[in-house]
Amino acid sequence: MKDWRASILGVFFIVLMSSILTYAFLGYPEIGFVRPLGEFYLFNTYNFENQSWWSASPNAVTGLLWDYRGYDTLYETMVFYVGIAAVAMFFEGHAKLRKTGGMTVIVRSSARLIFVFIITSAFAITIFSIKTPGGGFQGGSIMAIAYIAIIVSLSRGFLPEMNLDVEKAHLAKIAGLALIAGLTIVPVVYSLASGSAAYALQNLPKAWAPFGYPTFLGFASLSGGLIIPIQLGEMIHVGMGFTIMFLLLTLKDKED
Amino acid sequence: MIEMIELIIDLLLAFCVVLTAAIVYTKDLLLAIVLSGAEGVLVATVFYLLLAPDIALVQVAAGVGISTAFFIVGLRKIGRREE
Amino acid sequence: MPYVLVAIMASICIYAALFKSNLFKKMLAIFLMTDAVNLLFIIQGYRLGNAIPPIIPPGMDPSEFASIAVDPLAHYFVVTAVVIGLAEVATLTALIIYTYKHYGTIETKKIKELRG
Repeated sequence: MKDWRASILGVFFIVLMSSILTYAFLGYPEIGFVRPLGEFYLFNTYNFENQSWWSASPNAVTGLLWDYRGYDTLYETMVFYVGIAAVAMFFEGHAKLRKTGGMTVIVRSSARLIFVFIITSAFAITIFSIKTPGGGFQGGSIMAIAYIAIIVSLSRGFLPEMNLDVEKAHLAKIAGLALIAGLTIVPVVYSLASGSAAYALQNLPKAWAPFGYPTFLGFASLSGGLIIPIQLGEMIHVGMGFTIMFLLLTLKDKED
Repeated sequence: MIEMIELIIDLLLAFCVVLTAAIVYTKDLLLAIVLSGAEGVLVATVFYLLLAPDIALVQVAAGVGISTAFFIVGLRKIGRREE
Repeated sequence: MPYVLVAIMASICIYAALFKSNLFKKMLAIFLMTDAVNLLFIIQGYRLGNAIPPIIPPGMDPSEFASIAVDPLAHYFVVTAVVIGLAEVATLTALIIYTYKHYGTIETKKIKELRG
């Protein structure tokens, strides 16, 4: 394409998009104007009087993720798994890793200290996702940052000695996925064994399908059914997935 | 009070547009990566001001930390600086 | 007004993705475009006035909470979209490294002149 045609096309894009969006939306919406679907989710997510549709979590976004829209999140987990498989497909043979390189002593010691605190923070953000903002995806991204800090400050050749292979990371990721799959299939097994109806990712009992996980435990006053264990499985899956991608990208080629 | 928050959001978004134009224009790829990390921080601040704390956590962890690391590792194997 | 600024950001990124000849610049432009689209989702879900985030404080009436809180459906889509965008960036980086090892260059104008 010649240069003057390219600049005309660029200006046309800017003018078209700005005009469309300025015509369609004329400012922020007002405060009483909630869409019916959003109002239904907000009204029913922690409603003690009407417990036929509730999801037992004061955080509306977590209740949406794994109770009202559980199937969408399940398929999105599958998409992420395929993405990790696509990256792992490109890297086959690599040269022998040397044990030199890495940063100074100060950076190495502080990276080892900070690693423990970041993993603790990721677990805290995931487990308390019913009452505070957070969840599986947030905790998984934070956990991957801890491993990336370790990989960058120590050199890549030390890592197989510290039990951070690609195979062990794959096993940890599969453990998280197995937890999600197990909790999805348990209602189906119950329905086949007892004869009553139960859906595949059911959190709390409905009027026509009386299967549900417990909501109020003894030592912890509120647990959202199956939400907390599934968030833990999602955190391990996302965190280990990002670590695997980073481990594979920092291998040396044979020609270098 | 509410108008002040709207003005701050408009100011931050205008700064994001300026940063995007600078990323597209420059020929130094390392500068483009660093500016994209800075823009991730501004976008996370706008997410916080629009009352969405869940998404501010994901943007800071994934858009600033992990994405900059991936880009720099990818830049190491390509012809380093110029476009 | 915020819609206009987000639209300008998205169109600058579309222009860079179509008309720049370096593959790394195209990948950076696609990543910034996902950023702009996520911003658009959150902006149209905001409510003016004394709004609260979609977490019910203890002891509040559910019907009052449903009329004063921010739309939670917009937050749900953006949380998964950010993580998927990052996985797409990692896949594109692996593809770019593979292309560089095969062709020796990374600009589309020079790849067109080479022979496979």
